[in-house]
Amino acid sequence: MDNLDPRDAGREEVSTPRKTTEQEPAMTDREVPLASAHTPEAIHAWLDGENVNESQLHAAEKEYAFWRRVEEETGKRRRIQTPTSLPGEIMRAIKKD
Amino acid sequence: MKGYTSVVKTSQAQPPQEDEVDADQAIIDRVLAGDRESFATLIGRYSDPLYRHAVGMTGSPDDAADILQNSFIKAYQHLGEVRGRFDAWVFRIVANGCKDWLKNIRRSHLSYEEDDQPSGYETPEEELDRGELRGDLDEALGALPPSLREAFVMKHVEGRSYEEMAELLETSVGALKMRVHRAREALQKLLEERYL
Repeated sequence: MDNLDPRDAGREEVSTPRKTTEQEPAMTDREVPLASAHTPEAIHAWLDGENVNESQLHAAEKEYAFWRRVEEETGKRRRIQTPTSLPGEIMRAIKKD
Repeated sequence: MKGYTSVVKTSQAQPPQEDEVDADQAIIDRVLAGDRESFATLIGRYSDPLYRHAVGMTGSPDDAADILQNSFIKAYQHLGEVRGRFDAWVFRIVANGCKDWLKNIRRSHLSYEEDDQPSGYETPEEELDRGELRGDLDEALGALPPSLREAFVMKHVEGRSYEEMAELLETSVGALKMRVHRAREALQKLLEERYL
């Protein structure tokens, strides 16, 4: 039977020994270490919605252009809506119970 | 006066206000008292952000719809167990459904359906380029471990604040910032050869 206890959400991470909550996610949810690029702090701050000096963003011009494009794409996904037929299908399934 | 321009990105989803939480509880009370139709109001209120989460996590609109349907049915069946915010409770059901899906699937390339938004691009070359980024971003997201993917999707696709994410995932803002930053750096690494 499904466990619906919200407290169990993400339990797999909680069960992995961790020194502090500030550490990286547990290695158990990936099979190989991730390669990572250097993303300048100003770009992270801008993406996090913080006030950033424009000159700092232009100092990381390539990364700024790249993340603006990614933001444009993710912004488009932010407008995705539930298929119009789905709420009715859910209600019909509920009524069958 | 400072000699620079400050830039801030603004796109935050708002959590429900206190009166909305009370309104949710009133709807739940009506459903539990036998007014099944009222459950449709809760579906209408929260299905869009939950669907976006499921699409972001699975990369598949069809699978996202299945997860959403199963999650709302479970929510209906266990409605009497809601304590606190309904939106947070049902979010965790959907999030767990997505994680179960990720555990069970061997993922192949998946793409998003077009929506009806105008592209805003001037030339067919730019339009093609945009389509390529979409597919490559899907593929790169699929390469992330679930916890990083979840954090990135919640921050960038759902537009949630770190505080809202921390409340929904029951973890700290610092831990989530670290996950989002790591997800960005991994995505940049995966995509930089082509796009940087």
